Amino acid sequence: MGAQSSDVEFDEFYRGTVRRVTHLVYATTGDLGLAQDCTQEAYARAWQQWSRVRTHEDPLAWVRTVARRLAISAWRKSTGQARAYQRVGTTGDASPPSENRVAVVAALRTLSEPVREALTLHYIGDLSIEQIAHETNTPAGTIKARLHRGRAQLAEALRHEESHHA
Amino acid sequence: MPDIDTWTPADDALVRSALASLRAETDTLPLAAPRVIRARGAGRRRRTRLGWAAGAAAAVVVAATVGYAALGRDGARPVPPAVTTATAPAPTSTGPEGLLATASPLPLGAEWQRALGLAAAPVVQPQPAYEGNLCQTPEPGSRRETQRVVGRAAQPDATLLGVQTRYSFVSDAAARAGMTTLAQGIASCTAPVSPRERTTSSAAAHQRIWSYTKDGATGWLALAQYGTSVAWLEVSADAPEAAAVDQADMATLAGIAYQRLRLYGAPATPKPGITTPPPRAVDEDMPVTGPQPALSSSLFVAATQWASPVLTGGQRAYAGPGDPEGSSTVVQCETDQKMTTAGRYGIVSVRSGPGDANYIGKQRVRLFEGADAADEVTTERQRVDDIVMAGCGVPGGSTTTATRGPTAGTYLLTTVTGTDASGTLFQWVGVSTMATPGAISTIAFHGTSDGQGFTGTPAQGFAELDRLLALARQK
Repeated sequence: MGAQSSDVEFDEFYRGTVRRVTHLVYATTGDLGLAQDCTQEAYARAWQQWSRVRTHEDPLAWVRTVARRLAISAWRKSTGQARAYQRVGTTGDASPPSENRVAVVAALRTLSEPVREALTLHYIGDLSIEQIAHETNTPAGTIKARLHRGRAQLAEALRHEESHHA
Repeated sequence: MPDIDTWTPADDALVRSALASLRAETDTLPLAAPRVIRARGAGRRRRTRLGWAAGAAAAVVVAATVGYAALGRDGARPVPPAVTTATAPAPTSTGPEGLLATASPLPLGAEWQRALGLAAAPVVQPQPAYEGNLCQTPEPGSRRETQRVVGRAAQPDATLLGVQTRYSFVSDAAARAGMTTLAQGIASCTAPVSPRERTTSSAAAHQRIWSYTKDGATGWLALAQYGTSVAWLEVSADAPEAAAVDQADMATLAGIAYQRLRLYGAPATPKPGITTPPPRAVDEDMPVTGPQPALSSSLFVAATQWASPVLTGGQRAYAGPGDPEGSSTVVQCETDQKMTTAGRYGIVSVRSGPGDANYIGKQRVRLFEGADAADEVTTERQRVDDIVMAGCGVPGGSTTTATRGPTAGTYLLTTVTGTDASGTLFQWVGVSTMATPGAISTIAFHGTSDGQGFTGTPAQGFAELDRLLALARQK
């Protein structure tokens, strides 16, 4: 593959998928700026070794995994879960937080990290239980339990947030 | 489990809708152009090449100094006793040490190039009229000296890559307070940008880093403090080169600034080129893991002496509880089956902050007693050499290979993990005898290609290893 066509291929891949990845990382960490940074870094790393990544069965899975790992690692290192979620709305380049977003992020904050990861991969990444199990190296039964528990917990937390703001 | 059987299809719809609502935020974000992402990726490639080239160059210099026979010795032959003074490569005018010999309290253009992996060295110029810094933070009450850093990416139309400012205070305490003032100003800055602190939770007292985004591009700020000075370093998001800059680059640049303030920022400026004796090893009360009775922690390098601008980013280092399993392995490719049962051993684990994620390295001390102690020490050195240089791997999984470092008994191990996206693991390993008869020390620290742990170049890693081994030899 020539350099020119490689550029075109990567650019199409990036444009077609970057917002999905940012969305997923954002929901996983609750920090929009962090999601933006880590997603860009993941794509940069993909380009760094594009000749290898492009041959993967699912290059998007590669980028998604790298972005999530970078974000979770940075997020754990920097401030911890509570503070990360408290940052919602403080990124200068994003639009002001809507009440709905604040409620959703606050509800997500009540979930454990593995449960939130399973939920976001399923609902935002559109991954099946088996695919999540493969991507997170976790037994499918565990993923199923996390999804089950997470759905109930998040729904309850969302309703609580709704009633709190009503 | 009853609590997981309580969800309903209505819950499903509610959760799906709530998570989808977050998409509205990401859809309104400015999207970095693909060429910016490719430039950032290309910068990573270039830095990797530069780093390895620097390591290879250092190895070649030392090989020429000590002779290829010493580096390429037959693995079956016994290794001579450890040297007590490392043979350091002669500084060159363009190497990090050579650059540091040029007096300046702020980084040179060549150091910006080296730290950020730029294709060409930017030009550093005095900034005649000071207009305040990016966030217009309150002036911390000090003298200041500002320089423009002009990049060459857009030659012939050179563009501003960034600025650097040195704030000078009347005392160390005033400088620390000034650093806090500047940091608070950055943290509360919302216009024209809203920086996010990237320094780890155990915030470095002497180096702090922030990033910000502007029109989809990332810019960087860093502060470094030493003695009576504070350095402000800024990479503009508007600069074409900024796309390839990451946190590790800024940490390197801040580390250089810290070293320059140490050398040239204090009132009593040390003269460059004068060799200073290695730091004196101190004792520290630290937890030592291993069979009871545990070895005395005075046999180990004090955790606080692991700290350095390069190894820990200037952050303090602590001794933490090590592996409770009782394994005596500290080096990749070592297995308990390959370890000697002779003598006693202890391990001290060192971290640069709380939590397992902040472990940076370990030191193992083996202590042999009795008439055969000297032979046992020689055998132990050879055993580590054999294990490391043989490499190891798991079919279809990870593969570890090793190269010798510029100093006898030092190694760089590289572990590539199959198709895993987690990147490559690097481990710097050094083995040395100690002042205590019958004692031998193995020191190891690690880093990954995705920025975990030590993030310097191979040459910097070996220099840090030599520093730690010099401390271990005094024990």
